[in-house]
Amino acid sequence: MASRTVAPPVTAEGREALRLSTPVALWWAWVAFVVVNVADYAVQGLPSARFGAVVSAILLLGTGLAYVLALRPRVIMDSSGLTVVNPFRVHHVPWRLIEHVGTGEWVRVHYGHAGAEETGGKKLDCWALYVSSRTKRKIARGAPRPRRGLFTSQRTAQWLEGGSADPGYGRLPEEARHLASLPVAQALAVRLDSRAARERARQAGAGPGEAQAAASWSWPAIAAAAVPALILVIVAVIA
Amino acid sequence: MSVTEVQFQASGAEAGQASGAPVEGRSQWQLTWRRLRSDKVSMIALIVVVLMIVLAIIAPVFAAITHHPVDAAYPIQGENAAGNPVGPFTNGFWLGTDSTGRDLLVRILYGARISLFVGVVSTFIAAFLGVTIGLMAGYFGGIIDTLLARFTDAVLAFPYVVLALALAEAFGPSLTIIMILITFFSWAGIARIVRGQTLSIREKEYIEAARSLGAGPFRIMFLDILPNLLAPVLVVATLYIPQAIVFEATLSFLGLGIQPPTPSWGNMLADAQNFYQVAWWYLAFPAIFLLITTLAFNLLGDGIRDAMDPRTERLVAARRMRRRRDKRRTALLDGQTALQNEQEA
Amino acid sequence: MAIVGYIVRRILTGIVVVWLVASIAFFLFFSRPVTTVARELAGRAATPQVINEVITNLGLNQPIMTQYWHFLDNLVHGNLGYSYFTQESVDTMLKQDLPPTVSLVIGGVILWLIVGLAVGIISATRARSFFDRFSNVAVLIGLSMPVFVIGELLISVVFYPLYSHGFTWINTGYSGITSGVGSFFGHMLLPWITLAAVQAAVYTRLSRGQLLDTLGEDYIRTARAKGLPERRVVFRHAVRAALTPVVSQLGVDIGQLLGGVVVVEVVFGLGGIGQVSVQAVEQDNLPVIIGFVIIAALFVVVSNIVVDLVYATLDPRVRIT
Repeated sequence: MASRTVAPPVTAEGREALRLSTPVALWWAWVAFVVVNVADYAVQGLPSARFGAVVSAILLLGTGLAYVLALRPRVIMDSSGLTVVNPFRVHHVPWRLIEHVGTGEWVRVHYGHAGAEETGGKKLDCWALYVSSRTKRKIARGAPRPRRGLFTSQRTAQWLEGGSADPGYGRLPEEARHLASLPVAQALAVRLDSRAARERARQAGAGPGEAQAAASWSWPAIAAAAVPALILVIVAVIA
Repeated sequence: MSVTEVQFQASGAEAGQASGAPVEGRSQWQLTWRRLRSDKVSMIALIVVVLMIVLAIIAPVFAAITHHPVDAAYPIQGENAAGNPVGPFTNGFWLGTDSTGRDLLVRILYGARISLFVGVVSTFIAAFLGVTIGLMAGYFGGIIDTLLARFTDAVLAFPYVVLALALAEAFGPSLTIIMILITFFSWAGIARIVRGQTLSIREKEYIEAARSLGAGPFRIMFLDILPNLLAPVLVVATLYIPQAIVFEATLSFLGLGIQPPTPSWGNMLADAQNFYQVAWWYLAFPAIFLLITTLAFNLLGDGIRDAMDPRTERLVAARRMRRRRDKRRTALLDGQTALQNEQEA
Repeated sequence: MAIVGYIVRRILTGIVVVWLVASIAFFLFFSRPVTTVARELAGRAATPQVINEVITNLGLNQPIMTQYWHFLDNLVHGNLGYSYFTQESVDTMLKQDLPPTVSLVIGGVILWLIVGLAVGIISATRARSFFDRFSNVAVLIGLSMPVFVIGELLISVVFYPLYSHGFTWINTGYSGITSGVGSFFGHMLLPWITLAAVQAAVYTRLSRGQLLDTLGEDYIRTARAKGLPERRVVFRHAVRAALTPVVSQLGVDIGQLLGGVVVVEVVFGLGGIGQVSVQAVEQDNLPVIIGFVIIAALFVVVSNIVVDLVYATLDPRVRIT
């Protein structure tokens, strides 16, 4: 009979990229729109060269923006720390600096300087992990109490919550079950937070180390947005 | 056997023991009906609903009795000298006439047909859709669930009037459009409730047992989960019907729904607006019928919901016990103070 | 960065939503046969020559994607089309018709929030009292009534008797605030009450339920046990907590609000955007309807942002910074 508890892994955890599903879906919807346009012009022809030029420039700009704002942003966790890819900047925060990961309008990373007495007080928002109004309402409502449903009394509702000795849906470990009940953005924040805590504990004895948060501008992203905008302006002015 | 049945049987057993009668398990439906019967307001509401339905069905009988077909205008008997409608009980018009001299009572009853038909059938279709989709979302979870949740939110927040205008303009106002609209806006709420119930039922052990016995997902959904959904869906449907009726009346009022001369409470009230100064009955009677119908359905739905939830009974009993206990306590305190007063005196 | 990002995100989402709605409206209307579309654009009384003119002028024979981009081009420049039926451009029409609608919305929302919350709070704090029972019945009746019935009842029972006895302050139709504050309120009072009535019933029930739940919570019991005065307990703690679900419900109710606005405008003859659009359906006047759809989308987006901001100020858990 295998025991259900698993010993904590001794080796470091792997690399993982986090993002929400809606931006990716929106990206593909935009791509479909572009394809429809191109197909239509290929089949029915363009009314004028100017029209074609302007529309192409607009589609190009849209694609650039969609890439920069929806497809590209993500949050990567690996052994060295957290890499937050935001639309125009990329931030890297080592694990030991992270104090807490919470939610506001976005999943927010609170971090400070290594060895500081008071909290560093720096905040980093992850554009990729945004908190929608719906999620905000869910978070504000808090953990659902054992509500009486339409037809179950308080007693029955509690019985349902308590579950049986070997819960069916609760075949998942307790942590996963809790995460599954949270809205996605909040669940990701919890995951990041617990991973940070684990990594901090793991690296506790390893001495001060490099402990510096770094941020850099991402030139490809800036180009992806700025170049089509420039092209559009040129086309609109010249043509 | 579903959990809810077990729970109801338990409370039935308690009731039996309290009265000293032999313990006899009663089914969920019997207990619900018993509770509903004892609720006077709900019984009256039920009678009114049934009465309305009957009246709507036998509308042609009224047309025959009064010899006034539904779209026959009577410019001579039906209108007074100024060309305005005549009031109740004149010239054989039981409730008076409308702006073109048609029998108001007959038109109201034919309007009831439309309102009830639209209300009940749209809600029925919406319930069918809602149950199917909610069941699948609750059972399979994952992306279906997320999509459904998002879509439900979008539908619930959507401005219905904008869509009604656009569709009426694009395709012309008609009965079909109204029913599509009402169904479109109703199914989401039902699906949500069904999804919630499915989620809670899914975790039960007998589902586990069925699954381990090799039953496929659809078998489980239909044979095990679905019967337990009938009760909640019934309550929700009874509460959605009046919304559907009001929706149809509003659309017809705006001219986006049933077009004259077909009578609908909505378009009758729209016309009545121009005549309220000279013909109060044209405004009052359709409004009264509309109000009574929706009120009755609302009260009935609330009543069924209360009857199905044994908590209400326990709540009532608890309140009674609390009142008795408080009375006893104050009596006790009074007795003590009286005693103290005697001792001090 | 947070504020900038917040604004960018909101505006971006808003633009995307309005763009999506406009596109759907465009494809819904313009994918139909050319003559149908032309007839609707030209107006009901148009002769075949006028229709052909319209087809050439507006380029209705071009491929649909080309038309679509021209449509977007016009939209961005604020040109919503031309209503042949009324011989004026749609934006002039909409600009004229905006004031009644805006007045109605603002007054109505304020009224329903105040009444709904006040009655709900009082009912919850005096549960099972006469007031509570009475308000429960009123709520039930309010929920069962269609908006237009309430409006018609108010007109025939309040406006007409008063008016015919010489009390002309309360009136139907619209009188702008610039022509006199008194007459403005006189014209808007009954429409506000009508718009607010049904929604106030919903919000009364909602706030009463929320407050009753909150009042049973542990931290309320703690506050009471600490000896805090009852009024402070209720207002500081319970109402604050009960308010957030109500506000979030408000965001969802924008759709119902729009419906109510249109109905009230038609009943009271306010001549706002809603009434004009309903008339446009009767007149088969397409440009006005498209204009209305886009304005409605804008309105929904803007009000969602407003509700979001209000929500953020109420609930510290969802602050921006």
